[in-house]
Amino acid sequence: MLELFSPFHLWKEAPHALGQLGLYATHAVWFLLFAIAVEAAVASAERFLERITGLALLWVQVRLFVYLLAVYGLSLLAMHLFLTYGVNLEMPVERLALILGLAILPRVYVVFGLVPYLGRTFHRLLDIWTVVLLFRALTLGLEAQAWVIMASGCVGLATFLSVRQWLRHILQGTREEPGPAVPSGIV
Amino acid sequence: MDTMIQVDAGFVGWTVFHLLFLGLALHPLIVLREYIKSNGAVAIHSKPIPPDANVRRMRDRNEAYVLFLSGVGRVSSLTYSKREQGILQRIADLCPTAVVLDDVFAYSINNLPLTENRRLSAVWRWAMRRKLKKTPLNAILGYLINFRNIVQIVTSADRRYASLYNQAFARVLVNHLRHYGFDLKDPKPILIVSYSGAGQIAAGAVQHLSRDFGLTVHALMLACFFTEGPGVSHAHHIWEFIGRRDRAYGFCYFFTPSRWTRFASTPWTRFVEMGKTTRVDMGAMKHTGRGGYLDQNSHLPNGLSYIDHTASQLAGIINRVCAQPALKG
Repeated sequence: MLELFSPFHLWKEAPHALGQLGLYATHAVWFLLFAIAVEAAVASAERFLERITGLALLWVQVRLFVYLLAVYGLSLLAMHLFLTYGVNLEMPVERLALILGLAILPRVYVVFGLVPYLGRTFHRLLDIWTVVLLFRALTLGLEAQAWVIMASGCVGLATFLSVRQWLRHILQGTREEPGPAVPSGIV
Repeated sequence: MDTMIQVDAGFVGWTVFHLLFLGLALHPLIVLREYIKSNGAVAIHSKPIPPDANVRRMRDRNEAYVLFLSGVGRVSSLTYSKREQGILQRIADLCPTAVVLDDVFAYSINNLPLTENRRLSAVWRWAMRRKLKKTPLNAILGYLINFRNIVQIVTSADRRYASLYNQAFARVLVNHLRHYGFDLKDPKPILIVSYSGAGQIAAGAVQHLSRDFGLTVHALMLACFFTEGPGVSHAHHIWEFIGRRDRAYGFCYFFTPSRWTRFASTPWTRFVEMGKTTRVDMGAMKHTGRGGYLDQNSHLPNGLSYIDHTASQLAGIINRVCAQPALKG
């Protein structure tokens, strides 16, 4: 089951993995929550480097977790609305959630984006990989025409990026004051 | 659910691989944790090392301070390398008006040696003992130290961590200089002589030494890996000493695309265009070992040993800085 986090395994075994996710839907939900929690923790590491610590950091982590859940949730909703009302394709939202979840699972590797120097490149590659995996999962999961798959994927991505940008803007405004640029303990 | 995880060789390999990278990912946060929590007021470890001939010795006339930052093999502020000791002695002899210091551990943000007062001190002492035995198997174990120090270097090179890490190390350098009579109100020029990977540590610290403390810093990079981070262009001048047979330098240079001057305008390319860098051709020298910059058994056609040539090149620049008031900034 741990292989479900592997991008390469998911690429090769995506149809089977989709079935497996359906079979173990409860576990899949937990895995997804774990992947989102990891992503929130990694994002909070950047706040830590801005000298936010202790309870303030914990609060930031909780907010980031909720914010990521909202971003993914709204993307799912946008895709569902597009498929249901845009192209009249009957697709249960649970099934669509599983397809989206399949693409999100490897996001747990975002923690390796913290690796110094090489991490940022890895992060970019993981972003690209997530997009590729999303279209792969949609292709296998929707069983629709190519343009429907492309369009629904683009709707999901566009929603994801715009909501993320919007929420990030809000979070920037409410960000805690970081410590001084030059530490007080300097000689 | 339990039956779905099979503990076999593949699973063990998968786990080890992930744990290794998880450790790498968390390392910078662990290193910087105390510094962040204390808001930069973390205690700097200081253990005076007695002078060795002219090294670590105050001069009658101090015109400049030379800080030598060692390559990645070091575990503390004391060098065990005879080659490094050799070049330091030569530089100190050739530069009578410069205070030559080497007792800074470049791979720690509080100057704490790997072998003391750390949770893994015993491991590092063991690795160091293995390294000093110089048998092939022991040498591999000794590479643990190199690997750990390389992680520090890439942390210094990563923009996300660089600001804090380099600021902390600049603080270590200033604290250290003050132990040797350096006056922040009447600062002498500082020349950081870095060897190999320490170049990045020096390049990172330059920005903070220059900006936060208003110091004039010259960087002498002996076959160094360093990136075009936000700080390096704060140096007064950068000299690079490169041997034509130095493959390690070429390998590292490949991983610093921001310094490939043929590319678009970057702070580094502008710095180069301003004429603030000088590349010194060291002839057919290698990175280390026999035929390396610090080898006293290999000789140039004129009979000068490699180490003497390297020392004379470095000392020439140090003496120029000591002699010319304009260069003191």
